[in-house]
Amino acid sequence: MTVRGTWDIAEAEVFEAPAPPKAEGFAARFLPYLAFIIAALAVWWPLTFVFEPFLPSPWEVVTAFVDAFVSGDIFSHIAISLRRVAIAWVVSTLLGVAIGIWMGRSRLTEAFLSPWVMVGLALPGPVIILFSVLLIGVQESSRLVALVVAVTPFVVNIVHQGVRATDPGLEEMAKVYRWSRPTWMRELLLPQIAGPIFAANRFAFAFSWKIVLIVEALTTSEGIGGQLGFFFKLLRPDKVVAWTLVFTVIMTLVDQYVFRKTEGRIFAWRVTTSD
Amino acid sequence: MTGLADTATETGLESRRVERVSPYVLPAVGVAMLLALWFVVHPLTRFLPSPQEVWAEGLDLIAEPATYQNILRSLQRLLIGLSAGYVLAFLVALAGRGSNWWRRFFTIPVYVTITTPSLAFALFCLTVFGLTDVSVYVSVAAVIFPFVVVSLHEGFESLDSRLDDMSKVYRLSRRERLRHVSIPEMAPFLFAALRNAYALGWKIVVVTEVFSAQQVGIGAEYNRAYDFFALETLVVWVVFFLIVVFGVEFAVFRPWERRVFRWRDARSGT
Repeated sequence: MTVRGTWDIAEAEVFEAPAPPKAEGFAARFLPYLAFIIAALAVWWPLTFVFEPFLPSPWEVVTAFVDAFVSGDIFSHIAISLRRVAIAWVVSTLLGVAIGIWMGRSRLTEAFLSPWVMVGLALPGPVIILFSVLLIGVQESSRLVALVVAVTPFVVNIVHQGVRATDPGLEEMAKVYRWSRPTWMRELLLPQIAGPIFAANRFAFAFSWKIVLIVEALTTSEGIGGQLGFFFKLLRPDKVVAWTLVFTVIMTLVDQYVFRKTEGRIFAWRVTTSD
Repeated sequence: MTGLADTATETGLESRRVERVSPYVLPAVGVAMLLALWFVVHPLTRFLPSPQEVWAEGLDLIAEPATYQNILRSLQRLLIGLSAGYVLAFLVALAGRGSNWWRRFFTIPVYVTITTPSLAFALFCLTVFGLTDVSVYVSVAAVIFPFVVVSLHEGFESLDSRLDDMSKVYRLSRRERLRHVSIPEMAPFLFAALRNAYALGWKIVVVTEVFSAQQVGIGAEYNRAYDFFALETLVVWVVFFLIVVFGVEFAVFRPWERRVFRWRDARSGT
């Protein structure tokens, strides 16, 4: 199943328009964005009266947004969620890369594990967390296990495909020169699968911070997801939107800046004229 | 195990041996081994249900008409949400095809919907539209929308303009051009986008159902099983879910795709 493709676009810049044939003016470039914002508000505002009091008005969302920052409640919850994201991200990346390489190198492992990877890709988040809670109990470890189980199959999938796409000619060369395993690993395998590993790593982060919300909303009131679930029960959609916005903005900034910087450094050896 | 498998790969022995057996045998053995492990391990734990219990529960649920209602209701929600989101995304991608202005206009909604976590969509829709099916439709449509737009957009970009020129030279009518040139050319992208959206859509249906306190639906059944600490029921519903998800994949998408692409096989002779 090609579930993977649905997610990795998430990190790419959506819709990067190809270089314009002729220089466009400032107005031509930014007018469409402005037009959308105005159109969106023009639709949203009247609708708030139709769905009164369940659809928050733009003003209410802005107030809740400012409020979240001013009162400072949100930061402790962000810290709690971030800790979970970090653990899930690191563990599932390490685990996923190891399993992915193993599957790519051994047909036997591949055959054994591929049905489980497929199942893992297809399972919705709530199922995994409910399972984990019923097996382990309502505690922190069950949340972390659920996160790792949810994220790892995607990492495995990306890395596995990367390993399968490596050049068999180079493999033969390594055999002819009798490279030791460490040399082979460092000089041959890793440079070839650095791209997929990086993509998988970035994906693991993006997916972790999204799935953590579901895990928290189902099991706790602490963390951003827990609070979203809490606001949902209190019928406060304005707060749901505002808190989601804060968390999403922070996570997107981390994604954009941290990953792009390290990516540039890791791939500095590449000839950049290829594209 | 590791060492053995690796040396075997190096000599090429293993791959030959693996290729000789059917491609389904080893995955089946993999599944069977886990089932065997379950048999052995379950008495050692407190909560793990025995395979017999799960089997009995599965048979009970298969005999019950309510089971099929749950599955059909979820499928119906998925189909409506999926179609709405897909059609909308198609129109947006089409609008952005020839015009930079429209492409930019829709950049913001695509970016916003692609970054928003699905939980936020689910909770927001459930508040605004109430605990109804409409909430499920809207959240499914909203979540799949940006992914379909992006992949269709990429598909449109890669269309061969020479084919367009050719059909103009041969003066094909608009309808003929659509039927014999544009649609066959776009079919791979349309399919890829649909299958991805389908897989993603299922997840959103379940998320929304779990939070919506619905009475009917697969997500509702997960919730009920969880409330009763009925792990065996949960296992059975996960199996049903997987059967439905992969069943549609193998019974609908694959044959459909084969039918649509049969002209390719005829040409390449495979």
